Amino acid sequence: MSRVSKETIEECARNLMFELSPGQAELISEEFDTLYGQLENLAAIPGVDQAEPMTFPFRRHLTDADLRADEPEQPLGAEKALANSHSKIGDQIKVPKVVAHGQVDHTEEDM
Amino acid sequence: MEYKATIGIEIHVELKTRSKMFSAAPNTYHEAPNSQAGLVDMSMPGTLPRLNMEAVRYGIQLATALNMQVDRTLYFDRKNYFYPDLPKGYQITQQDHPIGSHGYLDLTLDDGSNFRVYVQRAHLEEDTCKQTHLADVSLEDYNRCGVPLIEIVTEPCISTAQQAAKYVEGIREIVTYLGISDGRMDEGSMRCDTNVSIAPVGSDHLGTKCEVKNLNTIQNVEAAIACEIARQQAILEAGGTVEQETRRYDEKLKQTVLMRKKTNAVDYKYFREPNLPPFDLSERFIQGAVSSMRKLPWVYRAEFAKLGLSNYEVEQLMKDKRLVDYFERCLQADPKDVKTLWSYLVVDLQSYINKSLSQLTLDNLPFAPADLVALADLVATHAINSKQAKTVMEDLVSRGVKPAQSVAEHGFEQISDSGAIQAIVDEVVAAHPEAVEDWKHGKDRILGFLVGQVLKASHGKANPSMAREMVLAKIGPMGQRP
Repeated sequence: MSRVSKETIEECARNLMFELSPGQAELISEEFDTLYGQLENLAAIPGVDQAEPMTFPFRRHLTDADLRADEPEQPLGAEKALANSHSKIGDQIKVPKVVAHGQVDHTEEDM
Repeated sequence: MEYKATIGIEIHVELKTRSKMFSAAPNTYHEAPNSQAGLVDMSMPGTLPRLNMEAVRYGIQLATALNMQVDRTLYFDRKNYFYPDLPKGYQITQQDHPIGSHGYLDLTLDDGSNFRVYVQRAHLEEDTCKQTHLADVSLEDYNRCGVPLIEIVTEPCISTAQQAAKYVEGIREIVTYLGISDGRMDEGSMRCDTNVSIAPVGSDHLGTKCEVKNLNTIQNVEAAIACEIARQQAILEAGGTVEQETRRYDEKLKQTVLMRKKTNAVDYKYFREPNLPPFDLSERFIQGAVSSMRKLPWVYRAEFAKLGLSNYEVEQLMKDKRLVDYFERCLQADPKDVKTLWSYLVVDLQSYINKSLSQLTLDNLPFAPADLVALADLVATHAINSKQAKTVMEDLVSRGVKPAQSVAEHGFEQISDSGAIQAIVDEVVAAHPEAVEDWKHGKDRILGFLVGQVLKASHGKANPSMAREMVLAKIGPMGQRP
């Protein structure tokens, strides 16, 4: 039995508003088993729990001298910014409406 | 049963930088949709965020104004979610290390009572795109995507709607006086959400909180919280239970309405943003930001009070930072009477500006602040009367004519030569013995009549206050023989 069930995958997909084709939930469930297996292999390495997580590529911190000066540069412009969009109305990208009762609008959801 | 309310407030403030938080795309408003986004804002592959120095400086300044501890190392985190308002699939924010923490703001209600709001945190983050929701689709405009934001979060320490409104007003005043934001709630450059709960007085635990979101005026902050407190109280008094909900304020209905019930907590899977290494801020950088802070509102209030302005006069000035700036420029011209200057700036000049239907502003006046001071000085020294001052003001505002020139053109020079005025007074008193007799018998209106005769005889040029004093000296106190 998979450690992350097909039903859990389908529920997560619904929450994320991802459309899954038939069979994809099962495939992802199997991939999670593989991932869990790899994590177990890593966990078996002696002393791995003492290793510091490597979030950044360098240990060195940056300083305020590395901050970007507040100098605006030329933006992309609407034509380039929208070049990859297949669905537009005027110069705005058209997306399915995903704000409905009971759903979360992240623009309004603050932590 | 009596209930106490507990209120917390979250405010998002858009910073008035020239470029965005993590990209060099311009930070603008009112531009054509999707014309102001950069590669980083659109999350193009291979692009990396670069943190805006000015936004950090603004963060330090706000934290300092709110008496907060400034974190000397900046860390950023990813708030993960899948939604089209940010193309990256996450927002860069400061979840674990806000730039400012543990602050407070002292405020005064209109009745004079003081209270303190404890500010839990202020953190830097990026704004999302602007969405327009149509009947069946949503439209995305990424111009706002990446605009620098500071989110300011209070402790749940506010207990009335009036306090909440005063706090929001206080924050708006601070960010506009610091010059770090427009603070325009109507345009969304300052946005306010509140958490409201009630519990019986004396209870040691909080009630279930409801969030009221997207309050876009200070009046609505107060009205929405008052409604929400009343709604929760009605539920409890009817024996019901308040459910955890997200609500919004409906201005027409004058009540809060349900947006959604908070059933599933959203898990944003926060983790440290690996594309932005930690930034160590030097003492010099922090002190530089602090020392370049503009004057805070309470400093202005103290200075204006010291000049002799009343509370009312100070507050009328403080409503508009541009007015305060103009007043300060006027003060450099050393006005003879600050209250008179205040009156000509706040009442008369503002009235002209309001009537001009936005064509005239304090920034495009056809005269210098010193000219307004010259006009106020003419009135303060009684060189012209208030009626004549209106004409001089008209010349100044409409054509930029200097007050001295206007006075000369209209022949408004007053006679302030005491000898000349005395001669007219003597003539007038001699010509109206019956009036003097009436004065002796207690007719108080006679003084005004005789002064009016003096002004008439001088063709309106005699200094009115001198004329009054001299008439009074001539006829003596009312009811007594001279």
